[in-house]
Amino acid sequence: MTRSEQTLGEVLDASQTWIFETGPDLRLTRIIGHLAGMTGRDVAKLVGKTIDDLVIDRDNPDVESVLADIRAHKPYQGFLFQLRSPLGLRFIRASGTPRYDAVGKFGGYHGVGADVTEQTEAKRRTLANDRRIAEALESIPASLMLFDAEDRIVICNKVSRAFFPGAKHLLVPGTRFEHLLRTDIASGSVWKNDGDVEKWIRKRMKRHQSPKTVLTGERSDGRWIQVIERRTSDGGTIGIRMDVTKLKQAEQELRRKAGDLEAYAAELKRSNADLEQFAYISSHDLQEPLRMVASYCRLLQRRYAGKLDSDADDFIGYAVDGATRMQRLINDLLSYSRAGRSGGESEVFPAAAAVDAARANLQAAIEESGARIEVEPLPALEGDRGRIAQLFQNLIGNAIKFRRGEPVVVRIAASPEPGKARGAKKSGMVRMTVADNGIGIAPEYVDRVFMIFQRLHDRGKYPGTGIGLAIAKKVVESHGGRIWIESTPGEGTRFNFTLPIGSDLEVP
Amino acid sequence: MDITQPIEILLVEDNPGDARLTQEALREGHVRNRLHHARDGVEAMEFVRREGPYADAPRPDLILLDLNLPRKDGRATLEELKEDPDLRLIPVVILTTSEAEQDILRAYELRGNCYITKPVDLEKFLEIVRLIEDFWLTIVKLPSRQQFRLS
Repeated sequence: MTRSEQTLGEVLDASQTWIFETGPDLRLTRIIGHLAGMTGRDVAKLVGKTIDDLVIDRDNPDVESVLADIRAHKPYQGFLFQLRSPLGLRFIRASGTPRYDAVGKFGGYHGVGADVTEQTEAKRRTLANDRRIAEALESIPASLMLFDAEDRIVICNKVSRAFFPGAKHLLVPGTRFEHLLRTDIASGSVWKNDGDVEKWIRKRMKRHQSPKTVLTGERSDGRWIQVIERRTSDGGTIGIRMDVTKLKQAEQELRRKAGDLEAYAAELKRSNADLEQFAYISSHDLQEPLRMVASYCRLLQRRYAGKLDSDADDFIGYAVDGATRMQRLINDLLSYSRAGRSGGESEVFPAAAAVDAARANLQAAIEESGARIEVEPLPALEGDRGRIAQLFQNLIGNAIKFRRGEPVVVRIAASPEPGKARGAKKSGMVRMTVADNGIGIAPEYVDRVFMIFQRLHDRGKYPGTGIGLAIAKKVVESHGGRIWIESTPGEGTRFNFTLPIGSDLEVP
Repeated sequence: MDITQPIEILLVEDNPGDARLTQEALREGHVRNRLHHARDGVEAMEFVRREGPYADAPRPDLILLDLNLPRKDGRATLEELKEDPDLRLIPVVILTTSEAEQDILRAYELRGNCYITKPVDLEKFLEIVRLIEDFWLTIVKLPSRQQFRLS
């Protein structure tokens, strides 16, 4: 090795490059420099081998085609192949030029090579990364666009085409946003209520340039689009576009339904109030003429009973009876309409106090029937104290009225009820039961007993208009509760109802 | 009070049926009385002030006043009666179908002597009219007619 060759070798070593020469048989005759971590002796060992011997990625068609060129003694440039070295698999880039002697006979190649493993792998990694990002972007069911600081497209996924139907061809890197927008609009793809297009574009561009903007609009084709734009750290813009038509439709549907429901509820409330007002006024105003009818029928009876013929006595009797019954019905109607009118203050009070008030009002009936009223520990309730007392009174009264031969026992108890009270300040409801050992109610009638003026028995046996349980139901429902019956004919009836609880049960 | 003289009662009531019923009830009572009937507040005031056709009307010992009347209603009539120094000592019993709290309160505020709701039942009505008669005309001590005139 000459001194100049040695110097050259050092220079080549430092730049990780080598130069080579082959003979006409393509075998390496000389290698100077650094080859994939091999120096000196290692490199010298390669002398006598062909490139064919060194290349290991032979399944690569590019490699095969260059090797074919080499066999045909053609020049080659930037030939990228892999070889095995003490550093492992390395990427080598080589260029070779055929040499010819004076008479034009092929004398082999000379050329240069370099280890480009690091660059190649970095490039491969970048490519793989880009591919992954591209795949990720394409998998998003929304348009994603990235603009650089000059507002030119950098990245744009395919979904974006749906949002610029008139400018699909411009969805490539380098297109300016405003150009994209104008082209799309010029093609007839417009937002609803664009009006003055120039003005709209100016406004749109202003928003596009703001740090963050979210806008939702309807396009002329009926689609609802949401656009979210955000300034990136390098002064560009990231834009996300979504088709929110279905969401918007669902929202509108929901709003329409809620509106319908609200209107329906208001209508129902109003018609209920009307009905109650009507019942109240009519029963109140009917009282006056009825009082006249009843009073004069009575007066006739007082003055003339026995003084006319027996037919007259009968007629007067029927008139008095009818008027009396009608008075009772109207009175009941009045109490029924009052039972649902919001009037009484809601308060927290012991349920036992309401039961006591009911018992006091029923004292005569309790004594007369010898009924035993058993009251288990009860919680406090929240509601209209007077009406709840009336509820107990009606249920206990009902139990006493529909008794069998044996002594009447009425048991009043409470148990927790899961769920929330409608409109109650406190969270819970309590289930109350009023159970008796009376005649019971046949299953087919359990719903009818709560209807106003519904009677299951003839008037002679059990007097009354059939208002008591209708009022009970109204009181319970006006407190957001429900009432139902469990009954075995011949054994007894159990009235269950729920009311807003005012405190915990004294005893569970 | 001179027992031999009949008691003068002024009933202010627009409903003839009700008026007659009161009349019948008083007829069954045991105090000798003369019932005068005014159909509204205007007539009632003319009667107590002996105006127009009532120039010769006696001064009532008791006024039974309904609240809901045409022309001048019971409240205005009561107010006028109680503001007149010459009339305010005549006991006024409000006899009405109204059970409204505000009507009751207003009647007492206007210095009505008592407030009674007409019972629906005839027997009770008769009894109440008799009780009114008994209470105001035989039990209660009122200033004598002489004193009325002096006051």
